[in-house]
Amino acid sequence: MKVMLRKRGLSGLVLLAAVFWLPACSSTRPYHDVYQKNLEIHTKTKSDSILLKVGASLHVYRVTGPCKVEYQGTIGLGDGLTNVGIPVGKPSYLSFEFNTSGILGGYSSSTDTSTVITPSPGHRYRINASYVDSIYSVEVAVQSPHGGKRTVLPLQKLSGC
Amino acid sequence: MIGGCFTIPVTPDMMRESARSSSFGREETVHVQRPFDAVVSSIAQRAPTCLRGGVRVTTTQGNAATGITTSTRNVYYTPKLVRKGNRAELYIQQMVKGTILVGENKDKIPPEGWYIMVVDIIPTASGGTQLKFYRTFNLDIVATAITQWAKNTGSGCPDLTKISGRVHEGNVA
Repeated sequence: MKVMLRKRGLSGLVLLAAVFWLPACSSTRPYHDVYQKNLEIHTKTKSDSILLKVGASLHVYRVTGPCKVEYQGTIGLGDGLTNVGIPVGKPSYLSFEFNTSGILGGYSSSTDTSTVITPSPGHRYRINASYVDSIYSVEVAVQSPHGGKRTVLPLQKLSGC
Repeated sequence: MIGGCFTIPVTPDMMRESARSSSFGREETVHVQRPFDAVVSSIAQRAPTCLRGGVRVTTTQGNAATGITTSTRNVYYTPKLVRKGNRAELYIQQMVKGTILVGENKDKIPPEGWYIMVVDIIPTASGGTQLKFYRTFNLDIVATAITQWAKNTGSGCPDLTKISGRVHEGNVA
């Protein structure tokens, strides 16, 4: 059985066809948050359509080598503040996923952005994660133990990839 | 394979012309009260991060009685910023894999794909900058994000899954 997907192009209809089987599965599990809370995540989501709802989640990975990570778990991010702990002195790969789905079903999408953080002892990291009207951003700032000025950190890619 | 009749914009000039002449195109101008070099710098910083990437689009049809069939295609986006004399141009190209594409110019598509947006970035006499967007109708959020970068009012990325199709979408490596 063929499935045809119709996409509107610039000057007419771009008609595309492809057939694949894609297994539907989910292998996420809750993050076992046993560390001192050093991440302060402020989340804001807003859909640009009343027919779509937006959700955010954080997938936490331990960096085990060049371009190698080990999945640690996932935390749902509701709007507002979520405190999370990740191990101090060890790099963690944080993947922020924004999901959009139709309230009536039939449509879903996800996009993600990520960074590597290696927390210093006593430092707190403030993360602003937002998805507003289909534009998303993740910003990270660090604050020293003595409450000094916050310093914005660029998002770090996973090394060796 | 499905037949169709349309012209694929395979050069920036074809994209500009398509935006002007097609009902699926959009041409719009935005004035920014920032110097040209600052605007170009902001766009150069954000475009590779936000506009380069792949999106998987999956369509599922059927039910338990008839069987479920899924169609998947991968859509890749590539931005390119070029300086031309005292102006700059931002191109966004799109390539689709896992599909059969039909249309005029399909054999002339560059490796990075056909053009879906061209932005002419032009300094103005008053010290500001003019952005002229030539794009497909479905790229509102991309134009909004680029405008925010140019105005330095935001650094967010447009969700490319929102411009690639429907049903289920997600990033691909």
